[in-house]
This record gives sequence, C-alpha cells and structure tokens, in this order.
Amino acid sequence: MGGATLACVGVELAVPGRVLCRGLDVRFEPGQVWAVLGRNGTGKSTLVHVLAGLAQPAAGRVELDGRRIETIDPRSRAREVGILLQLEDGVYWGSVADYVLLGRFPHAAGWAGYAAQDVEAAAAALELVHMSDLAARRYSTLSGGERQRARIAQLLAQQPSTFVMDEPLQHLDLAHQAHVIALMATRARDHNETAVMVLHEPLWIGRACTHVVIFGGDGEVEAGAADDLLTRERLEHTYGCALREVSQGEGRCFVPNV
Amino acid sequence: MSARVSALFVAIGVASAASVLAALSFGSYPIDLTSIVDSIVFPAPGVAHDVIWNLRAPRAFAAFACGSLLALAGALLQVLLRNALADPFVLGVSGGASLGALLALTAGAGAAAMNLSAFAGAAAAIVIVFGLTYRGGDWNVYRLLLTGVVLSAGLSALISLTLVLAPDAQLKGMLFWLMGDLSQATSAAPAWLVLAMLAAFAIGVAGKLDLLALGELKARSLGVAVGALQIAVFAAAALATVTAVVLGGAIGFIGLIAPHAIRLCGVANHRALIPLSMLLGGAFLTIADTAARTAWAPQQLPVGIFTALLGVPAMLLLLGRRR
Repeated sequence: MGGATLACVGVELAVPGRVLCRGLDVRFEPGQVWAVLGRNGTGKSTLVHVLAGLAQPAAGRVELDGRRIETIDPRSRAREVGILLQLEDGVYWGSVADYVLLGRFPHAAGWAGYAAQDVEAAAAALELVHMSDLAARRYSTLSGGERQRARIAQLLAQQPSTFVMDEPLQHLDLAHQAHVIALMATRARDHNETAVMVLHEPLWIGRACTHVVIFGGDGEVEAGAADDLLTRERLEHTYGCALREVSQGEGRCFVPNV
Repeated sequence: MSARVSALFVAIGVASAASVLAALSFGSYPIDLTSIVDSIVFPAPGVAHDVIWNLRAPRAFAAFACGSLLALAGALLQVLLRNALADPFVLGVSGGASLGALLALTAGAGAAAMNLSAFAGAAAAIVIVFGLTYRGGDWNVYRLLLTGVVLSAGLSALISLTLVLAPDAQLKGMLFWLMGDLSQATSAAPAWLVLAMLAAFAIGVAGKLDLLALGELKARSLGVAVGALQIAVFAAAALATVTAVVLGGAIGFIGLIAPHAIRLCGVANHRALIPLSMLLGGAFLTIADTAARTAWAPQQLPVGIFTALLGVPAMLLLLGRRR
C-alpha cells in the first residue's frame, strides 16, 4: 500500500500581480508528514491545488512518480492523490454515509454505481473519525466540526496514497485535532502514505511533522526536514510574532509569547 | 438501494400508472376501468376504443412525456447551476419559445408552423446564452445563470409587447400557450424518443452529478472531467426543455418542484433522484392535465393553472412536514 512520490520541479506560483513562490524543488516521499506553513494569503492553498493537479503552476511542473500530473487520467490521479479542500461551495442533501461514499467515485465502476466494498470502505472511514453513530444523519444538519470530520472521512474513503489537506484541523475541537494529526502520522508511518497538510497550529507541527514547507510571503519558500527548519527564529520571522519554544517529552511546540 | 428509495419507486410508479388510467377514464364520455382494460387487451372498434386511443391516450402520453422532460431539465439545471431555484426556464428557453410561438400566432400560422417557430425561438435563446457564456473553454455557471435571467427579462418584455399589439381574436390562444396547454399537443412519439435518450444519459452520469453538486473543484478533485460534463448537461437540459415547450407550451412549476419534492423525501443521489423526479413530473402533469380538461368541461383550461393549483398545497405540506 502507498508508495507514490509527488514532486515539485522548479514550480513557480503566481497570482495576478504577485509571485508567491519561485523555483520550488521538493519531493514528498512516502512515509513523510509535511506541514505547509505561512501567513494568510502567501500561497499555501495555491500550492495545495497545484499538487493535486487542480491548477497549473505559472512555471515548472508537478510529477507523480515521474509523470507530469496533468497528463494522468483524472480518475487514476484521484486514486493516488486525494485532496481535502478548504472550502466546499456546494450543498449536500443526503446522509453523512452517502456523503462519505462519494469519496469512492474514483474506484467505482461508471454505470453500476457503488459496490458493497465501497460501502464498507466508507463505513470504515467514518469509524476512523469517530462518526459511525452519525452515519444516518443528514449532512446539512452537522455542526462545523462534524462536517469537517465527515469531509476527512470522505478523503479517507478515497484511499489515496498521498493526502493533500488544506487546513485539516479547521473547526475541530482539541481532541479531534490531536486525533486527526495522530491518524495521519500513523498512516504515513505504517502504511507508507504521504501527508501534506496546511497547518496553522504550531502546537502540532513540531510533534507530528517530519518535514515542512515555509512560505516567507516574499516569493521565498523553504522546504526541508522539520528538525532543520523548525527554529524559533525562523517561525518568528515567518509569522512576525514573538514565540516561546516549549519542549515536552519527545516533542516540542511553539506558543505565541503574549 | 435503500428501503426508502425502493418504497418511493413503488409508490411513484403506482401513481404514474394511476395517473395515466385516470387520464384515459375521465372526461365528457366516462369510461370505467374494465372497459379500459378491455380495450387494451381485446382492441375492438367502438366509441370507448376510439375515445381512448384517438383522443385520450395520445394526450395522456404527451402530458406524461412533457412532465418528465421538465422534471429532468429542472434536476439537471439545479446541479449545473448549483442553485436550488433553477428551473427549466431560467436560461431563457421558454421566453425564446414563447416569443417564437406568439409571433407565429400573430402571423396566423397553423399548428405545425407555430411549433417550428417555437422551436426556432428556443434554439436561438440557447445559442445566445451559450455563446455569451462559453468563450474559449472558460465557463462560469454564475455568468450562465445571470445571462439566462437577463435574456429572459428581455424576452418577457418582447412577449408583453407582442400581446399588447396582437389582434383580439388571437389573444386567448396566446394566453393559453403562455400558461401551458396540452390540448394542441400532436404526436408525442418524438418527445418520448428524446426522453428515453436523455434519461439514459442522465442516469449514466448520475454519479458525476452527485459530485458536481458539491462544487466544480470538488468534482475535479475526485476525477470528474468537469468541463465536458457541464457542456453535456447544459445541452441535455436545453434539449429536454425545448422538447417539452414545443409539446405543451410554457408549463411552469414542475421543473422546479418535482426534484425538490423527491429531495424532501430524503433522496439525494442522482441515480435515484433523476428517475424518481421524471416519474413524479410525468404523473403530476398527467393528473393536472386531466383536471384541466374536466374541471370546467366543456371549457378546457390551460394546464399551467392546475400544475400550480395542485402542486402548491402538496409542496407546502411536504415543506411543513420536514420542520
């Protein structure tokens, strides 16, 4: 299980009038857990969309095991690279279980609809985010945090080998933040999967992530091992905010010095 | 398929059959159920046979096809535009068809020429909306929706102008057309052919429609080729609407409400939602049309009046129940 390597080769990201990132070369290898850090509006979501093949970089390319991602058939791509979007603009009228089942689309046969194994995968995914008891509820009646967990369950049901997640912890309570971070770290380690997560919570980054991408906001982006890049000075510079480093057990975390 | 969906299929299937039987039975020459069965199983010349096969059956089948097409178009457009208030007429198709039909009536044309003119008007509206919205692969559903609404407003002004300037003798025919009227419906065979094709298409892409309803980006992230799907869905909805409008005029309400009624019964996935909406739309229009031709007999009323008169209380009841 797992195994595909997603790579940026000379990727330049730009929005009209501004360059977000120049010449980014980075390989997201199986087993690694990546955090994408940076202030609001510095290009994190743009990177995430480009990684999942939903947008084209201004220059350079994204490769999945050496193949340019835009040349891969969309359904095959969706079986390898799954993305958790920050926003979903549609409405869903059905149950939570049916919503999670939609994550099986890349695996399901066109006409026949979803098979028993798809239903099982969806149920297992709901169990992973502790939502089995809400399976029959209408999706639209869920709270913000429950909705976020259902969306994570949908991504888990998709069973990609690379998880690209845009703010996976938004709306989650503390216990579920810890649970999702631990879940992704465990899967990366045990199933040889890759997680690339846009995170804002310095509480988790130092503990769970093996690697980081840091958007400086001036077009400079650094990527590398967390042990090398995660320093108090660099994070203070990134966020423009004084921090305190707290070590506890094996991990460390950063809290604002206010 | 869940038990609820199966139960809905049975209930709405029975209602569909009942609606057609009612359409065959009721009228100035009442025919009881036994005679209907007789005339189906042992066709023998006679008044009942003639009334059923020459008058009521063609009209019942036209009504059913028309209602199904409108419900299908509504369900497709609600996904495509990601707007719960979308109906078959939101893209200016009915405005174009109405203007075409009214101009033909003003010129004193016959039924065939009027249908042709209505078709031409609807097709022109579709081409204009699509042409203004889709430029070089850039497609935006909000621009599509707004373009349709703006064009509809313009067409509605031209329709009013035509009504005001039209000779009195033709005014009533025009009003009937604008309110939706199946009494002029000719052969429904082409409509059924279109219906069968479009139903197969819509059920075939049902899984993709589920994803498109969640948003374009979401659908793409799960492997749907969104651009091609949107164009195909637009074309299918437009074809369904044109076919329905040429058959029965601008019959409102069904396209908006039939898919919502099914959703309110707890069905969200399009593999069930689309066929159920089509059956419901067909059955509903067949019943409304039967009411339209019998309630004030021998005077025939426009069916559009009855779709709303029967549909509004039913819909309000459904809405209230879900609170």
